[in-house]
Amino acid sequence: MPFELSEEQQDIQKAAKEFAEGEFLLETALEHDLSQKFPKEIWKKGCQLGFIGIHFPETLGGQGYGVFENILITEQFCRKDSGLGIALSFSDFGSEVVLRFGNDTQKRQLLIPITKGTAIPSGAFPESDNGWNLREPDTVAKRDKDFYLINGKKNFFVNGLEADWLVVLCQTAFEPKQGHGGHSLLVVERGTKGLEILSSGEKMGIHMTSLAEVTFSNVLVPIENRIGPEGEGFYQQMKFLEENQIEVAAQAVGIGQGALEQAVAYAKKRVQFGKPIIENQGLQWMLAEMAITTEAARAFLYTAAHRFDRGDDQAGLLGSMAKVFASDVAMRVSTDAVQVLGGYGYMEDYPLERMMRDAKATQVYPGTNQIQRTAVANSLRK
Amino acid sequence: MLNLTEEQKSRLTGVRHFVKEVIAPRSAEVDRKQEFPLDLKEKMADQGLFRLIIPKSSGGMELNLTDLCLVIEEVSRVDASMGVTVQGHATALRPLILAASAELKGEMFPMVVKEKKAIGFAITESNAGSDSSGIQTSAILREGNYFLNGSKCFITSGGIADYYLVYAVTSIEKKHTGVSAFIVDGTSKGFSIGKKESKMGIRASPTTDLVFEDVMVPISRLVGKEGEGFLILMKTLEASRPTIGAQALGIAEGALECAIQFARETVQLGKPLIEQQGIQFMLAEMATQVEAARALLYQVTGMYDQHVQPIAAYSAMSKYFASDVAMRVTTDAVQVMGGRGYLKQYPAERMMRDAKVTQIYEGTNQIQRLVIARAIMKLDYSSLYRME
Repeated sequence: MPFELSEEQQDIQKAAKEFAEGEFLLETALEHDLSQKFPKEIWKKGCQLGFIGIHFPETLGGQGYGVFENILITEQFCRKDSGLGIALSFSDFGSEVVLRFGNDTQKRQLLIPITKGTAIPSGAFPESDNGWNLREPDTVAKRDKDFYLINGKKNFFVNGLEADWLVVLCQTAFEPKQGHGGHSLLVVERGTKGLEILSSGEKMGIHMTSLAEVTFSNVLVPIENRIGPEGEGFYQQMKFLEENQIEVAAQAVGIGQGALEQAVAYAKKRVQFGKPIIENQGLQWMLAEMAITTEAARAFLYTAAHRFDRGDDQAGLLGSMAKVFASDVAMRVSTDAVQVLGGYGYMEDYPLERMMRDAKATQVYPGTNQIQRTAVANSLRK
Repeated sequence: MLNLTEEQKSRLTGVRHFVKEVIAPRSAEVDRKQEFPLDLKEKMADQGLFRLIIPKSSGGMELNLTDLCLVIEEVSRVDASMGVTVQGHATALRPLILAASAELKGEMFPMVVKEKKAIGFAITESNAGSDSSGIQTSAILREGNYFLNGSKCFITSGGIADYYLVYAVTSIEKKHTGVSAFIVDGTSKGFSIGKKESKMGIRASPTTDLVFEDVMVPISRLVGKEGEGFLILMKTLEASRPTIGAQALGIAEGALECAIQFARETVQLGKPLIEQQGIQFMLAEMATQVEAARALLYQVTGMYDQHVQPIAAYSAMSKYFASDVAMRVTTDAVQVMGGRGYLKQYPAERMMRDAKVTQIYEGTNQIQRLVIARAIMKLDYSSLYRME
């Protein structure tokens, strides 16, 4: 168990912290939050410095690290700014299915541009009106010689408006009822005929990360775009989600830590009734609770990430638990941090109101905390 | 259980109809634009929402606190920005009702009833938030008029109110007895609206700074006597805190209704979401919280209306409990709806953002705890009011 970070990990953490503190300026964040734009400039700088795709092998532009090192970066980014942090942390969203299951050609073609800051991926897993009902996808891909013909609709996919390519979960086998084995993941490039991408709608937070709705009308993709063997899509996606949960848990821990720090800084400075408000025991206990729960979430996160990198059987389950725990903590801590700042916390001039709105997303994606609880419960029933 | 009279029922039906027809269709848009719809001000006045607590003798409805809260709850169920517009105006009227001279009442009440004027409530300053004794806006008496200098921040309805109930220091040495309350005309020379805030929620209700530069206020617009400001403020808060509780309760109900409807109508994994027992338990807990908040709120307003004293701690409880419930229930309502709850397409998203402010204004919930604790320590909290 990694109760201490290695020197290398500490260096990565430090570099991410310095980058975020230097680049994630409040004005920049506010501007992007209001205009609801992906932070392209900062993202490109992050790619140049090797923060994006650090968990890809060196041959693919990465640094050969694991999920653990990747989440150390996510945590530091979100600690400084939730909106910019989440946008950068998701700028490789969906790429892991190619990394883990793609062939060499696919990896070279799709992954290297992500680390160079020349392409943004997306994963279209959830169904339009089906929530996370992965067993009955309503996007179907019919094999026609060397092509698949895709029809259907999906919603809420991360980076949808910016994505250069998307990996799409499709039903590829029909009779007899194939269950989990009937799905495949196909890569669809932006601009492919029949592909229509629209925003999912305005949202509460994570304004720098787009969520989109995509419609496939007779979209043709070559069979070379399939990830792995036909029929593996569902399992590949579940594995991807295991990895992604941990990333979201890291976003949540970063938000919790950042919100706590801002609340503490304000409480030390703000004088009411003739003394800094942090001298009030009632407030001290609130801050203490926020610190305790954030530390617990971080310990959980690091454990889950470590187990994932080690390839434990239970890593996915632990990741689900860590995600639920950390995001619930982030929601509570950011709500309380706004409270510590009182009226100021509620205003857009201070980053906390944005952190609170952003924190809510971590309880919702990628699969709500209720779906995660069901997954945890199912494992208990076995 | 609160039994409503026919009169109460018919009033609330009217309000509900008005809110549904006039306010609701525009709530999402004015939230997005962060703009108060000025034409609504007149419509709200016509509906009687600005004269709820004005005495009948002056053309008002003379509602007691329970009835006022019922109306604010009803408005806030749909639109918390309009809820606080009604609430803030009533809060600014309260000092007039409690302490103003017959002359000042005779001047101001007709302005509200006939001229449809709204009043804003101004106490907070950048260095005087929770600690309202730290206010620095000064009022100096010179030749029969007061001259106000200083600034206020976070003022609800700043810029859309026509008058402001302003607290200012009339004697620096006296501290608590050195503060007085004034009615300031929004068109006075030297008075201006400062920074308008952009905020998480209640975005259709403007929150602004007020700036006073030698603003002349006739002595007739002093509310009560000089130096009575704090006493009036404390008495006002006893009545106004439950009205924030009512706003919070309304928000919580609105979000709960939204979540229930969504859970009934949305089919997932082959059955309506509401068939999932986990979701049922979440909704059950939310409903229970809402009912508990309602029970406490209307118990406290009933005590207020029957002049039970001391009431301050109870007022504080009703505000803090209901607003904590509103925050929890709205956050869970968004959760029940998942990704869709996070979209502005459904009102739960706005309600969650709106709920947060109810934990903050009219005294943060930490200040409410202080008020309650003080009562417990002084032993003027007793179980006398427990129902037999």
